[in-house]
Amino acid sequence: MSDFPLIFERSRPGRRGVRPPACDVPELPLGELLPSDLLRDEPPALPEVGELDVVRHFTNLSQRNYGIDTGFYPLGSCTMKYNPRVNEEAAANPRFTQMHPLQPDGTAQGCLRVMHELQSWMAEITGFDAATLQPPAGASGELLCLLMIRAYHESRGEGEQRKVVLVPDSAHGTNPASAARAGYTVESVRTAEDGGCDIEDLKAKTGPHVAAMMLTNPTTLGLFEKRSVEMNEILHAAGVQVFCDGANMNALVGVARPGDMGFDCMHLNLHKTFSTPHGGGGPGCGCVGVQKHLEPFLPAPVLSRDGERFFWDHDRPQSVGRVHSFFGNFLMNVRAWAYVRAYGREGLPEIAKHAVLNANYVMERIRDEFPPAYDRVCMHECVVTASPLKKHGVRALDVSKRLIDYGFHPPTNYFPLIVPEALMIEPTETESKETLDAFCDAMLAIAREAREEPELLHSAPHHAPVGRLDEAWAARNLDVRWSPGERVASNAE
Amino acid sequence: MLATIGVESIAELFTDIPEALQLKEPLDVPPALDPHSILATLREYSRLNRSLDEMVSFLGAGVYQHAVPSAVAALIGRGEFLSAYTPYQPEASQGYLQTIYEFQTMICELTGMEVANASMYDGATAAAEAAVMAHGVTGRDKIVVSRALHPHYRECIHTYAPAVGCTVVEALWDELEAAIDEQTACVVWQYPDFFGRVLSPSHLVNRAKEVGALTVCAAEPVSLGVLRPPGAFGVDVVVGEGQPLGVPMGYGGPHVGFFCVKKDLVRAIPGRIVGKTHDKDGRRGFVMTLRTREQDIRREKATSNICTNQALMALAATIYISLLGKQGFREVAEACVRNAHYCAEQLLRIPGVSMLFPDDPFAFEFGVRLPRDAEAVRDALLEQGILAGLPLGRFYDDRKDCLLIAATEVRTRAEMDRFATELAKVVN
Repeated sequence: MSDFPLIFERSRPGRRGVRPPACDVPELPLGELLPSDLLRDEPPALPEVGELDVVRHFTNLSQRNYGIDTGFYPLGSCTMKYNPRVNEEAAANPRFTQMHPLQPDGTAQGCLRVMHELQSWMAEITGFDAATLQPPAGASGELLCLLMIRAYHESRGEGEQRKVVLVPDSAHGTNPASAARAGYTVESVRTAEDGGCDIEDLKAKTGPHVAAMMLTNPTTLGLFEKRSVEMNEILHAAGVQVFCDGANMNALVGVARPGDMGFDCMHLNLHKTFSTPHGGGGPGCGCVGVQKHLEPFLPAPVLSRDGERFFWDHDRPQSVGRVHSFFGNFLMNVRAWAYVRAYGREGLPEIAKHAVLNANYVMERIRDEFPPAYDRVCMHECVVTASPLKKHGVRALDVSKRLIDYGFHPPTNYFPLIVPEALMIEPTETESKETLDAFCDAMLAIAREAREEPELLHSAPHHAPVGRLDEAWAARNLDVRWSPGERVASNAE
Repeated sequence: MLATIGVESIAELFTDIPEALQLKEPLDVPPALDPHSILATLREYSRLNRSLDEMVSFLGAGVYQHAVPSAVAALIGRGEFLSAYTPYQPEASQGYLQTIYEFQTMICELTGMEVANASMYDGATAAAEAAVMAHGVTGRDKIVVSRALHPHYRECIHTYAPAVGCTVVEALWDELEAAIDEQTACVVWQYPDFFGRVLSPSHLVNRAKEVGALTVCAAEPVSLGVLRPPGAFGVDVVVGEGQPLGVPMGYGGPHVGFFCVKKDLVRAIPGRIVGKTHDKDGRRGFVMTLRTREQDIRREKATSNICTNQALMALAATIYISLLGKQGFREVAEACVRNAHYCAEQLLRIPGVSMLFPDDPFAFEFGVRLPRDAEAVRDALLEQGILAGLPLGRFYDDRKDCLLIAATEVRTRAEMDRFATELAKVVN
């Protein structure tokens, strides 16, 4: 089987696709308008292809890619729920897409109204006093929260003494990475036997040198942190600010609010809980909620209202500054707005309830082959282990690759790091029982194969566009761009 | 399902959440709407906007109105692209991985650089990440920034860099070279700059090399269809905003940042990078590579905290560039330059209107001085259906009478003539 060509390999000299608008001003040579030493010698080597070539190329590439629209995508921690098409239509409105971020506020009242309503709903849903939609992704929201916490401590004269951020050993990698970016040293807090935080370890590590704790609730183990209120009291007593990582808000929406648990700030991933599409790795959308005492530090400008008029308030002397070129990913806000309205006040709790039901159902159905890492009720996702298969030489990665042959996207594997051979499964609320059963049947069949035919798993996938790829080779022989003159694909006509 | 789990109600699954924390009343959000009513309501809101479709716009300042071929939206709207996530499982994600490899190649071609990553959030955060990277690479703490770098990019650098212990020093373009010293981690400027000027950075590159500082250039990608690319000047890092490459203005986002380096800096780069490899049968395939730089593996030692980037918008850019192709892309860049020069020529005929920087060449954006307050002029022209550009007073105290004007390939001669006619009425 031959390689799928690159767009560059489809290129033929002189061929072209879409014509740009005709230029109707005098066509002066560029050399008369700009100094020649600032002009290119050679045009960039961009492809020369017809429009239909382009449409087919990317259509065929899309068919070499798995999405939620293709099938079940239980990638734990990523909340791969259905992205409603109505959201796409809403966001495609030219009166939204053709808006420039530097237009006068008076000409953008529609955008501002959408954003203002959404930010107030987000504050209400999470239980915080105020919210901002500026962070363009979850990790950006985390960093923003830590910068606000830092500014808060500095405003109280405690900036110098508080240099440590506590992070559970089960946390997402973005937590310690964001803490480092905010200028903090990271200390890890142990997980106790029951999967919750080890309170004694927390107490030992808390003190006047600690600026913040970052806590995901439910945790990355898919478990509700039962001691979060107690933890927040311990931390607050030592002057520590507590950030809630909202990656797992899908388990809580409409049921409970982090703001009521004593958290000082949190971020949300609108592309997880609020259904905006993940787009192959972005755009995300990282709304942040804060309690009153952190409000002065919100990123400028802050969206405010004066009666019926909405406006950007740039006069924010204590703001930590800007974390995005403009106001965040506005078109994602439109989608999230549509999503909140589709469920409404009565419907929102159904999201969490069905997400939790589905996760527990999957955990129960596969537990004989893939035991849960912690044997208790889970929230919106379950972390199970493939350890029992290790004696057959089969690892979590092999199970994942084999799932592709069965037509499913694999779960997250090897995370959280504290669970050996972890498989983190998040079904979300938008899947039917039939889909869940089909997935569980596949998992059980794969466990049987592991015992009887382990080689089948080691060499999986067998029915994907390519076989298992050599990632180590890619890192050793770095090739991150096509070069003109490289071999032409063998199937080029 | 409940029976399989062994509980009698869904409520039993929530008993880990203390009773006191469970909401007793519905949230204070509006009731549910059906899809038709959602669209109707949002359409009603959108009518409170005045979009660039309803005006003749000369507003740019980092976000540009371009003609986007219809196939871009159609292709990025395909569910396989829209509803996928980061290609952690490469065998199920070859479509995306290949498009990212193509994107990286195109960005390298435009900027003249050796390596591009899979994308960043946007131009401003890409510039801030570059400053932090330079601090990490050089071990130095001083970030020198041109005052002619987009004000929002500078604000982002001021947000990001001090947190990791850096000091940010701003300098006028003419004084930038002198501000670079042995303590400097990097110097950051824009090309064409915020005012649209195209100025050679050779002296900055030379000076930075002398003292061991890195050079970071924020570049506008469409103009690189005709301009000498930053890589040809020997720049170490090129970042920028990819919105002009077929991405909707969308009131500021989602856009897409790009980030390129010379090969020797590849291990310091933030974000995802896609590389070529093969399967056991020798078939070509693509994977995320150099993963040990990243937060999910390296945690607090990662090169950045970035996780989700802007893959869908990078895909839009890849498709846009493919559709225009080598010749079309150049034609767009040329049309922008010619339109902007034609526009400037018409405006300068108005008594009292002058160029902000009369001696400097520009690409497709330029600053003018007006005989009266620029915000008042902008507001008056809005009444005539013209969005005249960006008044500079908010960003530069001494430039309240200045307007930043862009003209891309979508503007016609008649529209620019009318702009000049109406501006003449308003200023005099």
